[in-house]
Amino acid sequence: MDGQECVELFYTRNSRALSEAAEQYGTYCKSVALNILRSEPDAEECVNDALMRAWENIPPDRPDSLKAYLGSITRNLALDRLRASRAGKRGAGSEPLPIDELSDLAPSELNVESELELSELRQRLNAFVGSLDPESRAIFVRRYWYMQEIAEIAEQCGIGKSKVKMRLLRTRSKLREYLKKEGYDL
Amino acid sequence: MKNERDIMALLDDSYILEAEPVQRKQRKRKHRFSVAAAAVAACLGMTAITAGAVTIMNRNSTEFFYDSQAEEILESKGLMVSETQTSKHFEITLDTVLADDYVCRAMLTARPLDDTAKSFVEACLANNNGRVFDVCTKDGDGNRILSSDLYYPDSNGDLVIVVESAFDYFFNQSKASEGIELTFTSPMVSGLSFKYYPKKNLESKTVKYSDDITFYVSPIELATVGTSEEAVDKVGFRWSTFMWKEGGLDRFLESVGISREEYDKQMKRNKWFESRLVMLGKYWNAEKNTSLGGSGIGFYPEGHMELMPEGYTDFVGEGRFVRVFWFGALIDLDDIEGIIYGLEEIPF
Repeated sequence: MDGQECVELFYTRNSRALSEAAEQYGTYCKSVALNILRSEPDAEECVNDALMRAWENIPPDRPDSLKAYLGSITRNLALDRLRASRAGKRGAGSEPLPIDELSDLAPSELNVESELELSELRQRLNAFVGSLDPESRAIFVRRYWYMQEIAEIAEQCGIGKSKVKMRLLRTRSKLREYLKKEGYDL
Repeated sequence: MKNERDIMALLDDSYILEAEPVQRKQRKRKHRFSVAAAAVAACLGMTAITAGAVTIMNRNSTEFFYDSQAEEILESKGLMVSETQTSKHFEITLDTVLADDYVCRAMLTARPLDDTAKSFVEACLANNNGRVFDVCTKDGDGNRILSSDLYYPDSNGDLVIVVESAFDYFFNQSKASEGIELTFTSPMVSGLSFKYYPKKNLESKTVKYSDDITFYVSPIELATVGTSEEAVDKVGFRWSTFMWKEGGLDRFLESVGISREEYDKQMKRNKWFESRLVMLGKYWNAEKNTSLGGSGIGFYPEGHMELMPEGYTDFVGEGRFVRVFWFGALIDLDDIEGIIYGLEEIPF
């Protein structure tokens, strides 16, 4: 069963949608959650929550890629869960996430409630990512979307950790310059 | 945006799918235990103890990971730290910190203090891919250092923790002098932290292999050092071992619990037996080709796993790239007079 057939199951409110989605994309979603939460039980709960969220949102949502859709929900839920567990804790349990390295690249004046502003930023971000060479793009996305460790990225890309770090540093610098040039106040 | 200030939440699906990482289960990563593996390790541990001189209840991580003589050797060199901290459920002792020019290995023993702690360890080893605690290592400025934290259940119920870090361009020797803050953040041991200084405390030897490649040996690792990443990667690793001085091989075999007869028998079957023993240590099972510890090799209790060394080439500054391979045994440099790379002898 491909992703679109599975989406149809969601649309027709067929409960098989959940088991099919879990079977096909559960491992993928769990790896996304695990990179963030670093806990198997938490990651598994997160995947279950993501599937339920998809059940609630499809329809009206109709994702082109169910895999990416579930992955995105999982990532958001995992981040929410991590933030909630960190709330009230200072010091212990508050190691930075890879994504924190990008915190100074979110436009300070951006209205996150404005679909128009978000749409413009989305367009520019993706144009930038699309302009990167394939290796730099893979490293950037694996680090900041998948939240992989530097060593894992280095191993999977077959390059040294220092090279990964340098690539990320350069890409962040380029993104900063690009967003500034596009008129964003960082 | 779902997550405020998370601009990556705006990324297109195509880029997300394009960059999907390889699933971890495909990787030959460091020591991860399954229940079966833990049981086998426990048996191996018992075997080692039978041959050794120290009672099972008192051993620490150095004895578990290396051999019964390791503590004495490290003690004589002033390398045992023996700093203990206690939480409600665990007593954790930082046994030793071993550092050379390129790597640092901190070895700890965690002792469960009650049934809750024991059950916690068992559950983690069974269900959590071998991971027990959350460990964070940071340099003196609070920047996170990439480290591997590895867990081995001892047969007496203790847990051996080995935290391995490699120096690189960012975390270099001058940063190391400011120390490493190792913090446990798991609820069972939350708040326990150790500060240690991974200043070089091990002797080392080097030998030139070619114009741009040098081999570096310390008691805990072999490093390939070169002036370009490509050159270092090209040399890679060919199951190196040592040119032993008289008596050196026998002392090494004793440390890994192998008799000379068994060694001779195995060497007739496999010319790389000795080099695997160096890299994988006393827990290597030649028949099953599985191991615990050593150069980035996982413990695979089932089936045949072709053991290959794993390493990363890192830029360490000053025009040097380094590829590191950990030893599964504690090598006495006084016992060796050179290395054997592939089948080529290269004296110091």
